Amino acid sequence: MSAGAADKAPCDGQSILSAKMLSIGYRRAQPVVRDICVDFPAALRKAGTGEKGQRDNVFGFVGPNGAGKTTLLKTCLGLLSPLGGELRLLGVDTRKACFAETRKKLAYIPQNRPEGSSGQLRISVREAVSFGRLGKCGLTGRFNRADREAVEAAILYCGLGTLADKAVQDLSGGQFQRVAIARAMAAEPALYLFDEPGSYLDEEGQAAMQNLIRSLAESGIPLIIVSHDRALIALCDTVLLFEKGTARLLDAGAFLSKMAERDI
Amino acid sequence: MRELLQIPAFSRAIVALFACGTAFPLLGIYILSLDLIPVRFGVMHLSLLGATVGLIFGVDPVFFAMLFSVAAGFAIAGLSSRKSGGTSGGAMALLMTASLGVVFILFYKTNIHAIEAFNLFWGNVLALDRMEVLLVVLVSALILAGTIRFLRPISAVLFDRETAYAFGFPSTVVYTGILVMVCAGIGLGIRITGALMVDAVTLLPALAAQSLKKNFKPTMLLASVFGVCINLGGFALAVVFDLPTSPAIIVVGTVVVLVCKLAARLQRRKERTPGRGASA
Repeated sequence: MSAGAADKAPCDGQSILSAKMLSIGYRRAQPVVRDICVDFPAALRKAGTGEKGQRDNVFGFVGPNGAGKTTLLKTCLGLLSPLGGELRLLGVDTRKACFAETRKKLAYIPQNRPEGSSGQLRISVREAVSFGRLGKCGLTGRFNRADREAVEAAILYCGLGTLADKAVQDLSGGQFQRVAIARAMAAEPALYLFDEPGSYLDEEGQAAMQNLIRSLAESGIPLIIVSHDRALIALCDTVLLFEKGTARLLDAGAFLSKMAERDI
Repeated sequence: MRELLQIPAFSRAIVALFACGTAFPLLGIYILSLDLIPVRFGVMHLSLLGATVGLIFGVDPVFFAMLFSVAAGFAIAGLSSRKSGGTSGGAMALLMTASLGVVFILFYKTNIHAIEAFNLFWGNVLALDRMEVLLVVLVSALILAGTIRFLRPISAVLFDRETAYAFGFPSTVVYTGILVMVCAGIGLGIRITGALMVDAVTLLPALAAQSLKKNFKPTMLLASVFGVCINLGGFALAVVFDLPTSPAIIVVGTVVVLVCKLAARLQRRKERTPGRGASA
């Protein structure tokens, strides 16, 4: 499954994410971050070779709470419009109408359980994972054999086989995060976007989550991870550090060393 | 009973109550899942305004009630955040109060008969004419067909609208469709149960079904079954004890909700009690 999905990864040299003088936020008068200039190119090594430890495609958004990490992620997904400047994802301007097609190549793993998942609407794990295919199926929501196979493969990959018919409302936080990842995998995306994965999990749940993300990273599909977690930041090659209303690129190793020095 | 059924008003009422009993509880599930409680309250009052305008112009009030409520559905879908947000409760309260104010001014300043005005508030399923019954059946069939045809996309939007959008799914179209269905149902319900008791045919069966904690599809099916039972049970109660129909439907609906909640609680207690499963 992962290898098949890796074939859809962006070609070498194509930008995964590029921004020019980008301002983001919820109100035009009050941008959260201004003038972001960044370019996350696709891996120089060919993606999907299956080499262990290959981490050329993992990018992090790091920084304190409220600095704009999730705001940029939501802008990348088209949930927010850029307040100024230009943002391109997989080479496509997020403001263009054709970005609707690009969104079908993205897989978003949100930070929190959606309201619907904790409230009255009871959905089985299999149904929740199948929602990852809806972008490809369109408004009709009709599944063919390939769709069903992709859903089942994602369920098995994330270790949810025994839970497939259980309601997501009855799952623990860690199990629900795995459902979110399985839903993302079912989409067979060209780019994964994680928003603070594992932030509400215990140590065991975080370790399982990190292993899952690590295995995705090794499959060659690019990942963007919003995180405070050092173990996850250590998976990244490059990070975009958000602080004081700006954002700048740093090498992940250098950023972690700086964090360690600050702790000492 | 057979004699009663031969009276056209009774047979029309039973057809209308059966049709909306199958479909309107699905709207109740949408209202509860998308937290549209303030929206449905605003739309109820707006459809009341529409019906009043219909009475003034001598046009079937149901037609104008539906026109106003469906227009409100499109407007609310446009006003709510494009991808994820809900609608403002404050704006709905304003809409509701303003509509009601205008309705009473119109009642006062025009020659609307008191009984006709009363029917708008309390409904009168026995007063439905043939065309109105046809409209109820048609709208109910559309709601059922739309729900069955688009069940997966609808459940995805009810589950997590924002993520559905992020995956490239046209969640805004589905959300607008759901809102328009809800608003059309509320507009139509004004004639059956009255503006103030539309919840009887939408929310009560949905609440009863959801309290049993089944998955989405069985919940939808149960809501429809409860809807038919509550509507026809309430109608029978009204006929037997000479009660107004809408309040009788509400009484039966309330009993069904309470029984379902009690059954769900007993079931949970049984599951929690150690040794029960082993001995069984």
